[in-house]
Amino acid sequence: MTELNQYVRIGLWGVEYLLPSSASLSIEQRENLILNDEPADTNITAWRAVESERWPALYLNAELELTRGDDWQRAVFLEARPHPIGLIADEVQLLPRTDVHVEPFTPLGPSPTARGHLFSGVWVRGNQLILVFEPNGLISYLQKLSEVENIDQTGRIE
Amino acid sequence: MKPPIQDRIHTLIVPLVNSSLLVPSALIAEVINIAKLIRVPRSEKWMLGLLNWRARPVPVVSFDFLLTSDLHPAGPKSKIVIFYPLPGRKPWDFFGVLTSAEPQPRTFSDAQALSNTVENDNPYAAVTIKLETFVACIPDLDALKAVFYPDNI
Repeated sequence: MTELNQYVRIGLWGVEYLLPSSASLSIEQRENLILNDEPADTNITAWRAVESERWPALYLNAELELTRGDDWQRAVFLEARPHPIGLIADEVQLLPRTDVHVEPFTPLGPSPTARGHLFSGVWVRGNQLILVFEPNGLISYLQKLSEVENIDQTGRIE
Repeated sequence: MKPPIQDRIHTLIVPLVNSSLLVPSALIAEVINIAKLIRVPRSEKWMLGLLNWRARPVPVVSFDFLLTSDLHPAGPKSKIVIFYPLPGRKPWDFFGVLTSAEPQPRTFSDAQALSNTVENDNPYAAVTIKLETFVACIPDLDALKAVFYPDNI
């Protein structure tokens, strides 16, 4: 269970991102998810079964493009309507907010989702910059990807 | 007789690959050496990446791409010019422009010295001026604001 005053550090193909833990509904182990046996038919890599619902989870690479692979262990589910949606990650770690100092950042150019930009801040850790997801933008982005029927072999949306 | 000091216009000539910018010095916070940029996924081609400048994240853009749609990598003489936030923007909205060489300060005696304009059809240039052997364009700050922050204008 996450606390409100934490960040979730998410590793995607060697690149780290942060998500405010208030946006994270749950973090699920791979063994608690139902893997998609027919990945060619959909962009969804796994589902979490909750009562009569199935919550989809998508696997993205460091460029936030849809990808495929088996080298992952967890999925972070975000609170969304009509149902939560998950982001599959190579690594997930909870960080106390007191350890993280996030600087505001306005991404340049048009926002890639109907609900705004994907990022709203940056954790400046020494020389390292770690982008902080804007939860509404990320949810909108994942929902849009989950509705796309197919991806090509490079993982880009057609 | 020299014009009064207050009439002088202090600028920086910012070399790009195929042209130059002429920018009032007051818009520029610092000129720095090339440093590592991190990619911002799903951003435009002209958005080169994020720079760690004075412990704050600063987006760096290719003005070359805005002017010509050509993307050029940083060269051995390239610098990054850090601009203050555009008018009306948040106090943290600094941005950087990749140059092809070291920017040069240039002081004009008065506005008359900047009157030798040439035809300009680029939407990101307010005016293009002929200076001795080259032309330089003065960025259109409103146009930059519109392309940088299209959701917030």
